[in-house]
Amino acid sequence: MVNLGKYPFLRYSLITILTLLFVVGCKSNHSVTTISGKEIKLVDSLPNAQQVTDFILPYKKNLDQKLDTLLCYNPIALDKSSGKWQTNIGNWLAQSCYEICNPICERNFNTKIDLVLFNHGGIRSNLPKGDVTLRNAFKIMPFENTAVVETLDAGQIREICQYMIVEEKPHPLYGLSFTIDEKGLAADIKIQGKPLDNSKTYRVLTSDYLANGGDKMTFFQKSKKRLDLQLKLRDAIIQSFKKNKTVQFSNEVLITDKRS
Amino acid sequence: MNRRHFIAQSVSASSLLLLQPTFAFSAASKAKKLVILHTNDVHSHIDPFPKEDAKYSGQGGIARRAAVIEQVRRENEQVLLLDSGDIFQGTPYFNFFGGELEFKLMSMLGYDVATVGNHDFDNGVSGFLKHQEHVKFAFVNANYDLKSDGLKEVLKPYKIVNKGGLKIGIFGLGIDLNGLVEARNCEGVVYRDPVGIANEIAAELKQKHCDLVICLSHLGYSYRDNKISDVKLAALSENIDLILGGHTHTFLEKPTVIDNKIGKKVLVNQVGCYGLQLGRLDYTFVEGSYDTSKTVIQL
Repeated sequence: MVNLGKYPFLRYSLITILTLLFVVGCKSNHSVTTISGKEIKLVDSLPNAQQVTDFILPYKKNLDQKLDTLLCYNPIALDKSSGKWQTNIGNWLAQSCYEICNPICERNFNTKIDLVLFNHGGIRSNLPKGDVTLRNAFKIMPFENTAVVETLDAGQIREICQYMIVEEKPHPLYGLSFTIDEKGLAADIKIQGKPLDNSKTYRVLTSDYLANGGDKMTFFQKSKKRLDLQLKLRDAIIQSFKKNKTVQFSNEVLITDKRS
Repeated sequence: MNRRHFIAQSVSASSLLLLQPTFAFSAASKAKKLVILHTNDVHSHIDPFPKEDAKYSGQGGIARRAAVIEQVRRENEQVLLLDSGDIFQGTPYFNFFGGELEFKLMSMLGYDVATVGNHDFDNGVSGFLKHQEHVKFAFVNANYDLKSDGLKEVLKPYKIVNKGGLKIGIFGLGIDLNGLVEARNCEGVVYRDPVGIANEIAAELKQKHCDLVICLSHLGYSYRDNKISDVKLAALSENIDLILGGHTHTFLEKPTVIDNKIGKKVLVNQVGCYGLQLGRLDYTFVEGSYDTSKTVIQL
């Protein structure tokens, strides 16, 4: 290489000119030559950053304290697997949401709720016997679903019955009863103990998730009117826990299967 | 780098340029390395999953993610840390602290840029803005028309990040919030079709000499119907190099490579959800132009 050390001016000029040439000559300054990629699984054998754990700790303690807030007492274990057509936890959920939501619906929309339908999959945890805390409410309902009331006609109520028969899942239900006849069809459909009336429309309490077509509950899409109660279902069950000092509900049989 | 070393390098590189002006002097210039780490749909999962969790026993947790990021930073000078939205909602941490802890921790981990997901509006626009004072990184979105002044200030179409002389252009795309977010919670956020906007912004970033154009997307990886997704966007794009997505909670074995509108390769990646994984992409650059059809992609 030419020794430019003796000519500092020339040396710097050359660098400047060449640098300029380079910059002007290229559109992008750099180009990609190689790419590699992988997904790093954060398994429990990997270490934790102590500083981050320490930072979280006061929040965690505060949160634990809040979640351990005692709400009421539960005398019997409520279990998601306690029945074929109905479960005790499903009965409790539908009835307690009715208990809280019906007065809101009456107050805000001047109408009563006739029946309640949620989805079995929406119950994310059992409720053990013993003290009930806020943590239980978050475990049962971790999602932010809100309470909505849809307006369905008698035909759409029949669709609900048929859906229940086909699905064979203990979806939480209240206010609607029917029998499954020998042919596997819904018969003797009653709303609040009264026979289904073809001339009437009914108010059905459900979650926004189901009302928007979740779990293939397509009948809700045909609703004539939606009433938004602006209440999270989790908040409804928390209110119900607080209101009743012990968890109480009825295990009335709503679906009777007459097939042998 | 000391000056003498810089001069020696400049001169040798420049001599090469003199000899062969059309040949970009990749051989003479030092390769630059950039590591991109990314997450999506963390959904307020601060703690690892409990041991008794049937599906994800003991996995995830932000303290563990922080340790991995620290290790990568120790081994690599230039690291970019990105998130593709749905930072909020999913654990009681969000219900009780409203996202304050999520923002503080992401800032602590040194996130550079993030985009917004639908759940980031679960406490309304005001809920998203409430804890911005704790945010030490940039939020980007290019396809929401914003009527709120507060949101306009926080949410910019793109951000150009300089990493050791590399210029990285990062823009964001969000999903149609209609039906996903209660209307009152996303008032003043109007969704616009993302494809045209993405191509415009990406072209602008290339014109601004960005060495790499990254799209942080919350559109979703792919759908059975015609809905716009990361995979569709990649094929319809022209100047995007990498799409880091979210929303569909898609776990991929490895990043997907898709040919764009002009036959160039676009990478699409997503790392499931809940902070169970961290995506890692390693890029090597040389100064000047290079036949990118020869770029080696090892996945």
